[in-house]
Amino acid sequence: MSPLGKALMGLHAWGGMIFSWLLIPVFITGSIAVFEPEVSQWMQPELTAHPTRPSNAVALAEAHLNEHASDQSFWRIRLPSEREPHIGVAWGKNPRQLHEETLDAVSGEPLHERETEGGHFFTHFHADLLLGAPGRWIVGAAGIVMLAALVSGILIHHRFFAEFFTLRPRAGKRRAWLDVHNLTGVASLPFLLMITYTGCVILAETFMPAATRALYDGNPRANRAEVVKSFERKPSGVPAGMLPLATHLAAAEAILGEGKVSSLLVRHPGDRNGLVQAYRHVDDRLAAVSDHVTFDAANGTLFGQQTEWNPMTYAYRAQVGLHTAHFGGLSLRWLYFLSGLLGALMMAAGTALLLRKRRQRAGEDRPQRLLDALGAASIPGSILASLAYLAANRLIPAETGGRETLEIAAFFSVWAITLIHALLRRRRAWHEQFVAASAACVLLALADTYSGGLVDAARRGVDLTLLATGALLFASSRRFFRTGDAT
Amino acid sequence: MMPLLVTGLLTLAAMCCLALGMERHFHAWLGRAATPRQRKDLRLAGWFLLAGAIALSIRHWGASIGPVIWLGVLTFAILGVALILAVRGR
Repeated sequence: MSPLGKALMGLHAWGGMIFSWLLIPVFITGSIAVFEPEVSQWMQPELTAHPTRPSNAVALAEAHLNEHASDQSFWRIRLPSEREPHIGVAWGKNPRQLHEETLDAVSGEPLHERETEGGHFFTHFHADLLLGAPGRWIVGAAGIVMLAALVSGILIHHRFFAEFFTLRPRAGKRRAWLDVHNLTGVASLPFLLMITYTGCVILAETFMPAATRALYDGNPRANRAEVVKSFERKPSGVPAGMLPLATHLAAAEAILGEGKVSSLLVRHPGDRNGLVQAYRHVDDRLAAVSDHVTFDAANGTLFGQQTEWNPMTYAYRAQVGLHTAHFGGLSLRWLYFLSGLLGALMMAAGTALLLRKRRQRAGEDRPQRLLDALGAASIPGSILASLAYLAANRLIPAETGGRETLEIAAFFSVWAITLIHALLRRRRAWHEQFVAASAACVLLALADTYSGGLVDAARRGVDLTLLATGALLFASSRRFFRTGDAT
Repeated sequence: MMPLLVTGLLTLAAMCCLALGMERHFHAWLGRAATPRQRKDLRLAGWFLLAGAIALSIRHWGASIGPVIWLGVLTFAILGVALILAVRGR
């Protein structure tokens, strides 16, 4: 191998493995995040799913808000959709801190669902590890290393085309792991390059704030405000009646398209200067830009609309859209979910290869044990932590105060336990954690099925996915880790 | 789901043809050597099927979303062929 090849190999293997401890959990939680609403539905069995018409839902929401929030400055209504088949209402004085409630789409009764971060936890962890700006720095850095590892991986893969379809599961362990690593990497390369690049682009504002500093005095909102028009005005203090929100909805649908309104925002309800703003769904377009129209709340005249955007906005939001996958429907969500898990499998196989190579050279020394343990904690360990989060959701009583924090604590404590377990049990830990994760998948699916999960489509989907994951984890635990010989 | 299935099957067929167009895989799959003419025809058929799958997905999902879905499908078509070859090549 040429000196350049050797240098690239070192970067690829070590850079890849060290950052994979973080990237594998980020890929796993990111894949789950594709199904965020479905996971939230699973985690809140109190939520109902009844089909309804948008105009009915808006009338129910309006009645609820009139009763409970007539003196508030902001109302927000999320209309029921196929994926979130209930009404979301929110109100308050500050648009960034609204009190939220969920209503049944047909009766309009509050559902009093349990407090939980739901599926959003996975999105949140995926984006910033729950650490805010420092977390975005860490994830962004890992993303850049991932890009470097992908490119160096292509360069050092000598037989890229000759071994294009090659998988030899019965060959020696090194050969088999290398085939899995190469095949999953090559097959999902378009997805991996796209998802890593767009992820870095989304985070770029955090780690390259120079442009915002120079042009907008360091205020990213000023940048956004220049692109997203806002149609606002001060309240007059003069009370006035409002047209029914259903009337505004019909007017908005005439502009945005029938059934295309995702949410309404009412500013200063009951005031002469009240405004009703309607936002459009982004689920049928690649670029995640939400067109919006605003009407005068009292007489329904058009106050402003934004249905065309400048080309840079489309270019940037297309990258955000490509990453968040709200377009393309169910087929695309499954492709993203499975491709993300393939990415995690590719990294796991790479880790297994490097651990094996180092063990053959250095034996079971102390650093080897640590590297082995970190690998176990990142691969089966992060799966176990995610399952612990779901299990905590069912084990912590629905009315416990602060239960959403306890659920997240369950995630991180089980993750820490998997690391300690891996340090204590050494290489046997891999097999044991895979078996434990597989058992947890099956138990969670069965527990949910027997507690009424069959009636709800989203919950059925999550349960079936858990069962399939359990079977796959068990198969891989037998195939690869039977003798405690992880690598 | 139907357009996805059709796109998937077309892409899978295309990838099978391209794999069989390679000497090693042809031998592993069918147990005999391919003539250069056969390999060339298979590769040609593979590229045609691939073009058909792209055209179909652009027709159904549009020029911006279609290629994204097709690339996603491609990943699993490649894996599918690799799994078939791994089982056949015992």
